Amino acid sequence: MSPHIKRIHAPSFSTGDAGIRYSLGLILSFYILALLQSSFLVHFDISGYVLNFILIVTIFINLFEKPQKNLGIISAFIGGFFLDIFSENFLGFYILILLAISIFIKFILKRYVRVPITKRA
Amino acid sequence: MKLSPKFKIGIIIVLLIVLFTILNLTPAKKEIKNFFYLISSPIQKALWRAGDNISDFFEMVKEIKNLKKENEELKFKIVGFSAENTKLKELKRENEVLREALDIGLEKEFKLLLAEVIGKDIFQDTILIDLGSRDGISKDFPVINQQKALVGKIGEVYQDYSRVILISNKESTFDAKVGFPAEGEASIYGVVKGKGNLRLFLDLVPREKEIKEGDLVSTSPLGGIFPKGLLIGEIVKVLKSDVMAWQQAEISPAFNLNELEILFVITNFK
Repeated sequence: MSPHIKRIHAPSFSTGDAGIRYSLGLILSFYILALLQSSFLVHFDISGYVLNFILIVTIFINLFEKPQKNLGIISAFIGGFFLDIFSENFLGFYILILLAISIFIKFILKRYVRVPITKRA
Repeated sequence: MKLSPKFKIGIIIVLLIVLFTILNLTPAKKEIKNFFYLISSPIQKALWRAGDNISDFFEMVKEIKNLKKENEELKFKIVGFSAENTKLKELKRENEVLREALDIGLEKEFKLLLAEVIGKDIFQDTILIDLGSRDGISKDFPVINQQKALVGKIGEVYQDYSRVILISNKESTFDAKVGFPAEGEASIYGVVKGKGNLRLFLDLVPREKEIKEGDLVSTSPLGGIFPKGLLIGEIVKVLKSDVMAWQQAEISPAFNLNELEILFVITNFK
């Protein structure tokens, strides 16, 4: 990798205190995002569609995280859980969708993408 | 035994599906959701109110633009409807006048042209109508209203307009007949003179003839100015004196100038 290109790392999930902190941070963040989506953003729909911030954040975490790390997967699970709680769908609907998206992104990044941003040691 | 990562993911997904299936099939799903709704409701309420207020504000701003446009469109429509309404009212009035004229059989007796009054000169006892020489109007054509009451005769004729000299005009003088005498009785004739300001006088009635208030005065065929039988008015005051050779009477015209809107010009007379 060129020395001029700065590596951008999303926080990665690991075990221990840091992992718990990240997990709690994620839970709180996604909880607030889910509340915002279900109670505040619904007033500002565009042709009946509301921005899904949890989906966007999950995709970004998966894109900028090392493909070997699991933070993206855990984000998908927590985000999906809160989306399910505040939606009419059955429990697990969004969890499975977000998990599928996360796994797909990781698979693509691992197998086909080789750019400095995602190239890991 | 070491499991491959793919196998691990597969197992996790299957377990998750089983877990969610169980959760959805049992009341646990409702309990979980209820718990989250309970702890979130205060925040949700606040967020909902905030979102509602903000969206209302933007909606109002958007609506103001629409309202302005809508207001202009409606104003434009109102002007159109008002014009249409006025036209319809005019047509209705014209229709009523024509019906009335048909009821008394005016069209059988005379050849008529419908005219609309477009101007009045009360001081000169003249009115302006919207028919002129192009419509076949000539000087001295009699003008009547829908009740077959004499209004006047055509004075000046322009291309598209004509001036009607009312019977109350000072220059107006013509023969008239008082009442409707029974068979064998002699008719009472006189001369109607305009006195201006919508006043009419019956003059030159022989002293020995008896006329009284309430007698109707109509046109006589003697003068040849107007067709016979057109109503002129009603005697309101008889002026009789020993020193006068003739008796006079004040006549109230049968037409009301303020109500004159549509008139008929008799074109087949003379």
